[in-house]
Amino acid sequence: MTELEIRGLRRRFGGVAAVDGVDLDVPAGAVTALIGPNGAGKTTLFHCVTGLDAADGGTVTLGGRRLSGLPPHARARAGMAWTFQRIELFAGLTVAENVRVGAENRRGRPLAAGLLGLPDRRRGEVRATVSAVLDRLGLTALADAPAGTLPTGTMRLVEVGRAVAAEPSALLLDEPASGLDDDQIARLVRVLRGLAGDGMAVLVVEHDLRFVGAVADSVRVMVGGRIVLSGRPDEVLAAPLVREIYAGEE
Amino acid sequence: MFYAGLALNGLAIGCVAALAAVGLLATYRVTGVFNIAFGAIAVFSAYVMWQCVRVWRMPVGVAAIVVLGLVAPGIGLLLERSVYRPLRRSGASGLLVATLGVLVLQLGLVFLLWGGRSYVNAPSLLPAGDVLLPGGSLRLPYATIVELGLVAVVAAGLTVLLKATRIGLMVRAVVDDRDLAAAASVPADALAAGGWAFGAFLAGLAGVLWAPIYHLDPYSLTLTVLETMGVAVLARLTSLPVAVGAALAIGIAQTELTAVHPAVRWQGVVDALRTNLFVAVLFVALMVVPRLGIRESGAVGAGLHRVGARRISRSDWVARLPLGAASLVLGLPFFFDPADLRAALAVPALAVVFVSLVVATGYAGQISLGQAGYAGLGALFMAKLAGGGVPWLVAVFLGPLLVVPVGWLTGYPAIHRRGLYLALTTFATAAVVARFVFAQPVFVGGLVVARPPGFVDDHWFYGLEVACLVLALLVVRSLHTGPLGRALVALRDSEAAAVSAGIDVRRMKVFVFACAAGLAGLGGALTASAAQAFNPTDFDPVQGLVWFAAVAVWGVDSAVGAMVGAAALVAVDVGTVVGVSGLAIGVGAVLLGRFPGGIAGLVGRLADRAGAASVPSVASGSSLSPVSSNPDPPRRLSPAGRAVAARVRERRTG
Repeated sequence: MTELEIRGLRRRFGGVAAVDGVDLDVPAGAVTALIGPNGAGKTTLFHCVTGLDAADGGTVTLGGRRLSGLPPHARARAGMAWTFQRIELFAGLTVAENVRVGAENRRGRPLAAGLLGLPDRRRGEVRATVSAVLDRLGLTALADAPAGTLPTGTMRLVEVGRAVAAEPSALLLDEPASGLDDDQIARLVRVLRGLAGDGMAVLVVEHDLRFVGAVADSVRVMVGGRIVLSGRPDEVLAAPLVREIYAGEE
Repeated sequence: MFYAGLALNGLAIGCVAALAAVGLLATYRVTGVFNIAFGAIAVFSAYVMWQCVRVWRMPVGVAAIVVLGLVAPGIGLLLERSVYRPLRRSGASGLLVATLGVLVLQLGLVFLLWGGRSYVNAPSLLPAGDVLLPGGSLRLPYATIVELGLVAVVAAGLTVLLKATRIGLMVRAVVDDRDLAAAASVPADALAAGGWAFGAFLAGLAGVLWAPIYHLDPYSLTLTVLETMGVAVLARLTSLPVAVGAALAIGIAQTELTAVHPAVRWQGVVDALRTNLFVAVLFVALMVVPRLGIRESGAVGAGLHRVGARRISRSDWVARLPLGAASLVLGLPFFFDPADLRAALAVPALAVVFVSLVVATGYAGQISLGQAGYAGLGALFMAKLAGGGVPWLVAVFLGPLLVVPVGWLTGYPAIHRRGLYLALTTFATAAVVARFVFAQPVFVGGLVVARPPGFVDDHWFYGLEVACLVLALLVVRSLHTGPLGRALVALRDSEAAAVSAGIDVRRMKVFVFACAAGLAGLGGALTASAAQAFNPTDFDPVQGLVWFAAVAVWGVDSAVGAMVGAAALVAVDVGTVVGVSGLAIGVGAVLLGRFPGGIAGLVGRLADRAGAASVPSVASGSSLSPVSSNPDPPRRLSPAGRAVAARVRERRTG
């Protein structure tokens, strides 16, 4: 069943169509990978879907609810979570607090309640979620470590943890394997497969074809702002077009 | 002909403003730093000029050579070598605080050396007399002609230098990326030093030319020069011709407004606008210009905060030490003699204003240079309410509550602004409030602030102030703990990530500004009550810059640091000669890039070491690397380091 549905998404920069009428279905319970050469429009598509950039046209629907026009934080609250190509963490918070921010803001809480120091009724639930996410990502030992002092690969995992803690119905990751060592990549693959197994729709924008091959149920190839190829990982990764794009990387 | 005469008078004002704006822009173009200290360098140079001519009896020409040929460029070279070169890789916030530090330091020097006294006999460099224009009825002063010539020469010369010469290309390369330019064999350090010397020379020139026109006064002249930033903003910090044209147009408009005579009740508004047109332009320009031609790099608070500053994994006694120190500092005045206690009344009030800065900038990363305005409005509203018969205990909270909507409204620009742009916008807000409200007798005339019955005695009133401070700290605590506290730090550290976590950053920013405005308003209300009068100079926008620098030095994300800092500032002001506190704050601010987090950050690092020595482990139950299974955790490592080391050991053994 399609959880995240993208229809006719368009984004132009001057005379260049960075995203040119993209249709994309991201089904629940599966990992969908989006690959393509630099400049193909993958990150622009990603930004248009999350609301970080305004699309010129097309629609984004999540679980049947239309998100087009909503600001990014509203899309996050609607059940979409994402990570960034360049790591974005809260360096002043600990690892556990980073994950906790993801868990406790998915539903809006009146600011006055926080100002008056009223207890958060969901505190126990949030703590359980944070604990489970840290455990799933192997970050429990680092729970109290300041996030800003961690190695790059660990930061990447914390970022994923923050997104996962929101318990989204769709998880979008922009080059999540970047900066991770082999062990961490293997852990990330297990985590993403597990999340998909739990019914989450996962969309991964990635260059690392080994990672894509290990994690994805289906792969889309984007070139020149359009999806030009779709299929199972083994079919797509063996296609001449992909081998040409990534020549020398395997 | 009447209007043409007014226009010629306005041209003189516009010329001086253009010179300052061109100097500001030229400094930015050749150094890459928007030098907020430009006004202070101008004022310092003007005071040195006054000293040379009026005290040491130097001829004006010789004094000008000394000031503009040696002193001002020397200041530029000194600043480049000792302040800006070490900070070249710092973020926008770090540079901003450094420039504020230079401003405060120079003002401190002026106060220390000249007692902050105002002089009306500043020597003039420009020739007296005027020339009769064709037509026979209009006269153009020689001074205006020289100023116009200077503006044209500097603007044209700089444009040619930057766009058409090899040196200009190298200067642009250095401004764009100093390290990269140096790697390409460009003499980056020498060019940057030259740029700073030239920028400081222009600041000195502006100060020396302005001093005879306006009073030679540290605060007002600095503010006057700062107000010409509006012209620079209209030019988006890039276009010298636009800056010159705008300055001349505003100068002319200012004098033309003298001919505008609306209905009597509006005359006050027109008069206020006429005398403060540059402030109004600064404010409006910052509201309407969508973005400046500047690069904002790094996180909002980059350079101000210490990474990991919000850690809570310290042993209890270490965590409680700073609070104990603050309590001691605030408790001591109860045992002071009457004179010292009277001086100490300023401490809790100032502490509340300081913690408002901690909330806005320290916790949420929103640079606010406008807290003086909010504090003054709180004092004003409270005084009006109390004067209208509202009981003091109600008025002291209701007044600041009325400031909250003002903070809410003025917080809206923060939604799309960051770093320097946000700093300028908040400063402009304070400047507008100071000029259009605090300087207008219709608003502040005849205000008397009485203390509440039973608290007239200084001891009792001090106790009441401390109680208000405690209430303010409870609000601050709510803003730094729990989901709200984490959301604010998230906003500070990464807006993009905060949005992805579902935080409505736009609403959060406005909310923070409103809270900080209310807190500053409370501080202002207490200030006025302690002094039993509303004194507009207590809420001068330049004073607000000093406050910001002081809070940054004491630790911008430390409420305890802010309280101790307020006490220290008052103690130094009372216990030493005037200017020492400014010098100390200025030196601290320019050194801040070398110790992020300020004094509280240093204390925090020491506490972390003490805490690390007394806390055996910080985490357990990991599926990856259970620390509890490690019998001998290396104690010099951070929690992250310990976990990584444990993992490595685990791999080796397993």
